[in-house]
Amino acid sequence: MRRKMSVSSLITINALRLGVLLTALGMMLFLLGDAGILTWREELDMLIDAGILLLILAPLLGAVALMASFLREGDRRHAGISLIVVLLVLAALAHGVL
Amino acid sequence: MDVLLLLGLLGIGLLAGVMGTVFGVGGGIIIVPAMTVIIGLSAQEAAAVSLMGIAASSSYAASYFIAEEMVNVRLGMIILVPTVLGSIVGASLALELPEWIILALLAAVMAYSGIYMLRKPERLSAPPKGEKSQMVYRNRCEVGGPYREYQANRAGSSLAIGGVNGAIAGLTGIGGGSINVPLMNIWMGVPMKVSTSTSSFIISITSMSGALVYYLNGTLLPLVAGAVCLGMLGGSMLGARLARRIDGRSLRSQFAVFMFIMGAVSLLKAGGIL
Repeated sequence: MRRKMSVSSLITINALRLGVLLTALGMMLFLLGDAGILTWREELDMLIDAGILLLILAPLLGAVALMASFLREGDRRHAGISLIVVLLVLAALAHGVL
Repeated sequence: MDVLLLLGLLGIGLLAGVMGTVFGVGGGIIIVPAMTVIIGLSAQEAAAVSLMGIAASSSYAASYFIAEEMVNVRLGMIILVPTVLGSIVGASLALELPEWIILALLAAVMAYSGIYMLRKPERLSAPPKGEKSQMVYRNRCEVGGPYREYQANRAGSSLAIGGVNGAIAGLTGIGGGSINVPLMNIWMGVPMKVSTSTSSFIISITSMSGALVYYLNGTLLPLVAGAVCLGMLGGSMLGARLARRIDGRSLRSQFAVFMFIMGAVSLLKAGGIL
């Protein structure tokens, strides 16, 4: 159980790290752009957006990993509940897009 | 955006991260009033920034606690269903409601959080009374500590409270730890440490759902959110170190006074006086 749970923690933490890295990099470059050193602003905005999206979605990745770990354990009830949670988050995503 | 504003946002995030970790309340209680009163964002924009910061910092904390087996993931998943649903409804409502309603609700939540802070934490470990359920769980109550078996009661009614909590979180941008922890500890009989760890797990996913609605709607300001989020993550790490040295309980009353002041400021802003 401990090893399987750690997989979800590892996925979440690494997604967060990547998100932090992209956001911090995007912001540093934005400051350089603001000072007139860099001119490609649109690409910088995309970098920050990608970082922020990763930071927001990191818990979702963790939840999917938890669902997989419940399935591996044969705990269908909690895997089903996890699936409902994931689907609700995806509904939020669809709601925002629509 | 200039460098000074960026540093200011990082500082607010850092402060929220440190205080949230040391006092065991979500950083939203600091972020939302700071964003509306100091930075001048609308209540909806402030809620979006706050939810994003909370999603990132609480999922970092939850990952650590899950690895230490201090989170009741199964119970958390059950409470998450109505809470996420409430959060989506709350965030969607916030985009339609007038700002003063959100600020007035925020003031009420801050007053409640202040009262919650004034309560002695020891009182929260009272054993539950009443109906019993078959939900028996086993978790560690401290890092590397022994396992403790306990029973979670009143799961049915806790789902309704979870839904309301999620809606408040989505509407105001406050994570909802001050509602989640007493709900699990007093109402359901889950040990205190497991309640706070599980609350981090619940908040991470609830806040993410609300933040997603705001992000895709274009209400989330990427640069502001990015700076606050980085500050909050750094603050949470710093707070975790400080929490071992500082006795957060001795500062709770001062922090409660701060909550009441910020609640009053939000109320004045709701009334158009500020």
